[in-house]
Amino acid sequence: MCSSVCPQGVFVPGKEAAILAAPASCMECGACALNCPVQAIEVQSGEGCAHAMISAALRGKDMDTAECSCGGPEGSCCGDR
Amino acid sequence: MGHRVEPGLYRLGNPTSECLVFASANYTLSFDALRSALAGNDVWILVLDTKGINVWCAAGKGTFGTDELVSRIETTGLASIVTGRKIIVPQLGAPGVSWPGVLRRSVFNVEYGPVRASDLPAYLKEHTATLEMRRVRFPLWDRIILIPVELVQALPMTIISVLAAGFLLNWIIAAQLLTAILAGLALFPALLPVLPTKDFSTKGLILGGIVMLPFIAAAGPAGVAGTSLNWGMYLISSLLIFPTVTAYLALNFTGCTPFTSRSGVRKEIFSYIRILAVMIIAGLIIAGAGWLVQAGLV
Repeated sequence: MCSSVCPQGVFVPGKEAAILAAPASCMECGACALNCPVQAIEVQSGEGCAHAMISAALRGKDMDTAECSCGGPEGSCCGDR
Repeated sequence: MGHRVEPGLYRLGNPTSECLVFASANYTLSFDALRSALAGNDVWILVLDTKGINVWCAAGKGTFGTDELVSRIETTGLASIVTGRKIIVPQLGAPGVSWPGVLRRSVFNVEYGPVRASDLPAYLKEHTATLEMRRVRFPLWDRIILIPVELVQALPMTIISVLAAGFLLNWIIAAQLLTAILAGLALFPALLPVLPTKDFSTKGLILGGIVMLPFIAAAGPAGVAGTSLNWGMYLISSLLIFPTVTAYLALNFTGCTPFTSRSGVRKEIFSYIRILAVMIIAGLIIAGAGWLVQAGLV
């Protein structure tokens, strides 16, 4: 299941369990952890956006939970998705 | 409500109770992509309330998630409308949707379809997704279409800083600043994969350095007209000040990519922000010192 939901090919199916084939490609989206039927994966997911993290730091907030307000009709920092 | 679709259950064509169910976000582009990919088929589309946000962003925020999917299944009475117990969810909904969770809380079994709606016809025909259908890539076109928005957003700051540099200092420096900014906003996204080194900041520094070379070459050892700096000072300060601008803009491009991670970006910020700050301050000091020397004030 993890190998099916990962958009970066981090996992490949193995004989008894999935194999962590490309950990460096992980973008920490958390899809694998959320969909593992035996909860074998733990991910500290978050936004990989320097702009959001720097803005949070400058406003005295926690960088690791920096919110991304993009993705909707109001537009985004980086174009329409 | 221009960009939003009303959440709920929709028919595409004339689905019977035996037809497939697909899940979608209530962002019009998401909904339209699904509808056009499935055109000609008779299917049900369950539109979740993602506040008008696309699937992947909403999944990251949790709005395209288990709770909303289960709740929407309940409020539409999906279980009594279709006999099947499968719901096909876009793969990029997975960061928000837990299929074990949905199975436990509703009678429905989530099946993840391909990343892109356009792959659905092939997916449905073969009953399986290829590896490529399950990958998100960041090809040249996807990078380039981000450039106009980047430019427009940076326009006020760019105009102000370039004009200030021109009027207060001189127009060669203004041109260098403009070049550094455009390199960071437009050239960097286009050249991202071919620039050396792994970090966006260092890629930006390298690109920023390269675009300064024409200015340095044009100046020549005789000195740069209007900057009153000898060539050595000009070289050093140009390579310290302007690539930093490009590198900072490059670092900020991390949020526009579909592959950077929070921990990776955090590491990069802590590794390079101080270096960039030191570089630009050193460059300004050297440039200032050079100017004082040339002006005969020191």
